[in-house]
Amino acid sequence: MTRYILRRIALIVPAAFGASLVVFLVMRALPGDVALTILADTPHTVEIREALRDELGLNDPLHTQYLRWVASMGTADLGGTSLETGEPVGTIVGGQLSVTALLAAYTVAMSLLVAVPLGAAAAMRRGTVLDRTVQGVATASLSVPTVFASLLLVWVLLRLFRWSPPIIYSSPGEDLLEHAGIMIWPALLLAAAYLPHLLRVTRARLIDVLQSDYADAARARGLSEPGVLVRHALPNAMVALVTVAGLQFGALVSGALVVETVFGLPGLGRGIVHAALARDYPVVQSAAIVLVVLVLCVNLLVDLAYAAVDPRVHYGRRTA
Amino acid sequence: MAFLEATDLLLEYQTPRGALRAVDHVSFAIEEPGETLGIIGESGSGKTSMVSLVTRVLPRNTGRVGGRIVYGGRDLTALSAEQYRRTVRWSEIAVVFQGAMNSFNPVLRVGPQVGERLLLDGMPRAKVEAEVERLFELVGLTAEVARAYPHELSGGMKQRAAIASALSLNPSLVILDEPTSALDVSVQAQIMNLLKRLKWERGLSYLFITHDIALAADLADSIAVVHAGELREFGPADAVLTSPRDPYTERLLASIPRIHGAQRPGFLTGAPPDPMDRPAGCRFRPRCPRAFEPCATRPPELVEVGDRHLARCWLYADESAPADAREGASS
Amino acid sequence: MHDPKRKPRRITRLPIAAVVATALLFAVGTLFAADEPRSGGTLTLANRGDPPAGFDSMFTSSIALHHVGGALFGPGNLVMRCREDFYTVCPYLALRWEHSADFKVWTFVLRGDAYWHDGRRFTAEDAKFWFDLVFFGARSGDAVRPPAYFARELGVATKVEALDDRRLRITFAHRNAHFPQILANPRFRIAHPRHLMEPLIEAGQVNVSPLDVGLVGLGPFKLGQYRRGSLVRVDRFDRYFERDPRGARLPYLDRIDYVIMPDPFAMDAAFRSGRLDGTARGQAHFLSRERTAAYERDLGESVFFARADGGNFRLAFNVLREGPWQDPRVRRAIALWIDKPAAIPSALGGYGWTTPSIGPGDINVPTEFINWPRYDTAPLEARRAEARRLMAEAGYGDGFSMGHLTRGIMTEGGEFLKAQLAGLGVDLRLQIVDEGEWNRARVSLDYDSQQGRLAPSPIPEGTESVYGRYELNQDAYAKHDDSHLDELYRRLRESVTMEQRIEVWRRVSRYLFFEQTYIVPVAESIDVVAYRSHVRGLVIPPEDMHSHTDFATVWLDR
Repeated sequence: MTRYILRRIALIVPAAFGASLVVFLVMRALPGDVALTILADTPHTVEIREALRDELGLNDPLHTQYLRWVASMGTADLGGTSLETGEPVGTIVGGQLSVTALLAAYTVAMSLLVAVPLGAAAAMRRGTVLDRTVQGVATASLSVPTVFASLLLVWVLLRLFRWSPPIIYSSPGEDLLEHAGIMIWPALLLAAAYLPHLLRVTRARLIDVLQSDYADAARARGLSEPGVLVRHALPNAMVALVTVAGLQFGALVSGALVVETVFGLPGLGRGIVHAALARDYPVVQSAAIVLVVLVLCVNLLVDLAYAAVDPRVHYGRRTA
Repeated sequence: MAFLEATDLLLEYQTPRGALRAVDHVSFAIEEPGETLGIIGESGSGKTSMVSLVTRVLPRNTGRVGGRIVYGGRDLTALSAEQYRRTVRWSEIAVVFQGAMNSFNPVLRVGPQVGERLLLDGMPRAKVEAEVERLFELVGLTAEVARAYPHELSGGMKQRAAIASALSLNPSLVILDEPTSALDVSVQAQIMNLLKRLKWERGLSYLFITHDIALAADLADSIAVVHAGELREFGPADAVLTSPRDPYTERLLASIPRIHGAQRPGFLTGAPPDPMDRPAGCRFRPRCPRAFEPCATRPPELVEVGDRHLARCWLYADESAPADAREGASS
Repeated sequence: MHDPKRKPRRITRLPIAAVVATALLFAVGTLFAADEPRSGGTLTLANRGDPPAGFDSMFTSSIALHHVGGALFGPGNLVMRCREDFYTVCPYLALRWEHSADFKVWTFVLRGDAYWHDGRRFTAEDAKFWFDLVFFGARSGDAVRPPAYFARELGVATKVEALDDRRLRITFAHRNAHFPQILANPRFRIAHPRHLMEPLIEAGQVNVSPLDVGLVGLGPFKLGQYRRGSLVRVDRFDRYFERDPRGARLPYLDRIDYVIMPDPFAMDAAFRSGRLDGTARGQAHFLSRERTAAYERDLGESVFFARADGGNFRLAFNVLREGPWQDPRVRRAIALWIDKPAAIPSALGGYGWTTPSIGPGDINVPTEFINWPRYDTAPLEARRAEARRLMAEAGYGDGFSMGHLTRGIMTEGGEFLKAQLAGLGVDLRLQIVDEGEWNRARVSLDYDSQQGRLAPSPIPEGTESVYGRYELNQDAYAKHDDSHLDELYRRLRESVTMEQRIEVWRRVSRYLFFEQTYIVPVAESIDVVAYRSHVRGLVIPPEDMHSHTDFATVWLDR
């Protein structure tokens, strides 16, 4: 098992490097550079611009720039310093990652808290008004793109209640209440797109399991219906739930990138968009790698979670 | 008063095409504790449905239910679901399910599932573990099996574990629903031996459901043959096996391959009738080699054909039945 | 709001671009309210982004920096533009100044009660450190810090000396008759504390930024908290030196929260719901008519709008690139053809003005006012007939196709020009680019023509970098190789009297916009920001909302 984990982690490294090369080349293929962004509003001379380019290392050959960046990925700076702001990339991307990761975590937690009980209720009362309502709402919610839903939500809150979500982001350490106040809306919106997947799979899986022979066996042994649900059906549905939760994580992250802009969260999504427009290469590159590694790590965690919830899954051992 | 007496059982399922009568006024009984009743029929004959009325694990689409089940002098049909669960289920009547392969939750360890009812009744975990170990010993499993997951066990081991589970509250009657149908022949024999041993050692009664009349012959004291939701023949095992009266039973027996003798096994032709569109008259008539005039129009009633021996066939109820046909039936 | 005992020096009334006109057209009514200002409270404003380049005012003039810069680093340098009159120079860190007879040596006497936010007193040594960095950059081993981007604007200095604790002397290689007026531009922010930066520079960190040393400034507010991507919070600096006319200490506010909101939609929602006291400055954040209408609908009387000149929206040619536009008659024809007032609703979000609003007969405009839009004053029909004639004469009666670099966040401008020029037979091919490419391409020779909005500069000398020859000024707006402009700008720099400067500047603009038509001025845009009515004492000179930010005198009436 340990060997398996180590092997998977070892595989993340070349994947990240591959991604880094792609991101690096794509960024360099884009016209423009950050020196011009910094000097955008300033009448300046060629000497100033060239001096700035020299200082930023933009006049070095491409491979030198790439190797320098790769080398600095190993340091705490995580890719050197931002060309635009001069801050260490690690500080910038680290701060942004914590926002996006928290947002994703809240979304997953909130989705699980709602999807599992609701899915269970729908499964146990399938065919009823409750079940149909839950399914209908889930389908409707899935079919609305997150961008549109965010704009719509803000617009509706504003028009109906002359109210809009808070605008100052605080980390949980700075001000927990302020943090919760600004995170709840984007998390709700992301959950609206993420939760239906979990709800559907929970319901479908529970219906399967509740009809299974072993559920009947458990009933025959004298388990009540809630007992069957809790002791047998839910642990079993977890396998499918973890699969879907993992599969949809990529979509969740890309949704997070969208809502960050609308809700003023200083996360990776907004950060990447801004840095890309400013041609702040190290920030875009490192942020993209961080996203790649994040998704790869979540995939690994999901695979490990399989093994935890389903004893039939084994890693690192050959099966006959 | 019989040990278990089921009278006039009726069970309908609701289907999109209408009500499906799976059990059509069936009665059977186990006279004495320790005796075994084999219920024999093809798949779709309604045998499992009959038993589900006894175990009261009914599917969601169950429609009309009727009849009376008296067990040890108590009318089970008069009990509420909760009363049944508390006083009868598992403690008096336990079940070994059809396809034991699937009767364990794949993501939980076997031991806690076998001892699940004990846990549920409040027995401390450590004691449950000891009890499961004892039960495993009884059915020929080692203690380590308790910590295994279902997929790590062979079919035979799972079946033994299922039997152990059924015995956990020391019931008087165990319902065996096709307990060996998914097993290799050799393993099947081991399980049958185990069941016989347990019956003998513990004085268990079985309600043994199978499609394999040969297996029933091995274990049952009396036999009920069902077809298309109806009881075709019911009587002491010896009587039914040696002198079957119903042409259906006869065909089932003829299909058993024999090691000695030149007789080739005769197979049943055709399939059971569509339960939504059963033929008028005798339901076995389309497949029956001895069908004659009344079979097509009037449904036969059960008639007594011997000592405690009943059969549902016009051969015994109609004077116009050809004598040779009757002869053939008893040969 | 400054000390009335100090007499402001009225220097010049510089007639550059549309500046004065807008000043008079859109004087902000709430600037100096009669009520007694009250102290305390938090002002919440939107900011379009994180200030780039570590808040270093020597390398960036981003509006995202200036909006917070006024609070952190103060509204002035050694001198500032007076709050009552933008064209007058008032003392700020210097109390008074004098110059040698030849205008080459300037001596400033500094005030003794200005403090850095960490408590250190501001001295002549600090001022010398700043000017040295600006003019000469820094060097430590192999590491080189270039001079500030605006070094040339201030003049060619040869020496900066701290005569004593309070006196600073700057020596120039040439006459620099208008130095204090140039220095009063709020873009030149002192954000570089010597006592914190010098050791780092000596240690090799020549490019140390204000952010690196904790944003220690001299302004009315000190840094409270900087949450990257989210918030710049500044708190009242209790040792700030400015006082109001009653003698009370400035600033009035306890705190300003600059909330970083790159998304204008989010900003609109936050303002309309009452979470913001003021909107952000910057392209796309400035309000359109449609958006101000929505604000008014939601907030009624409790919102007001500050307007300022937003620079002129124009079409510039790259005459260094082969094409019909190399013929001045073609450029002139295009200038004549465009229906300029039509640009306001379609390209400028409904706010702007054009030629007909201003002219010699307009009482609001000083007689010496010289402005580019005056060149094409004939009725549209007549102008268009002339345009067709010129095109035919140049041999392009059937029209031609021309590429046009279009900024992604200003596509309306491109669409407008395209639709206009179609009538003249000119097929304008819009090449729409994102901000990164825009910043590159607009200073390159890769496009036939480009659009743009150029912020007004009140200093004519400062315009050479945008109007001059491409070879010498790669930031130049139009691309040409016309050495006659070198000559004109040389004469401008050598002018001493106001009359001379005006005369030369007239020549420059006539040559640029009329005779050669390197640039077609279309319309003057107006930048609009919104504030809640309880925000009082705000100083927004209608000439400049880009770099002039001053919140020292703001108070909250609620």
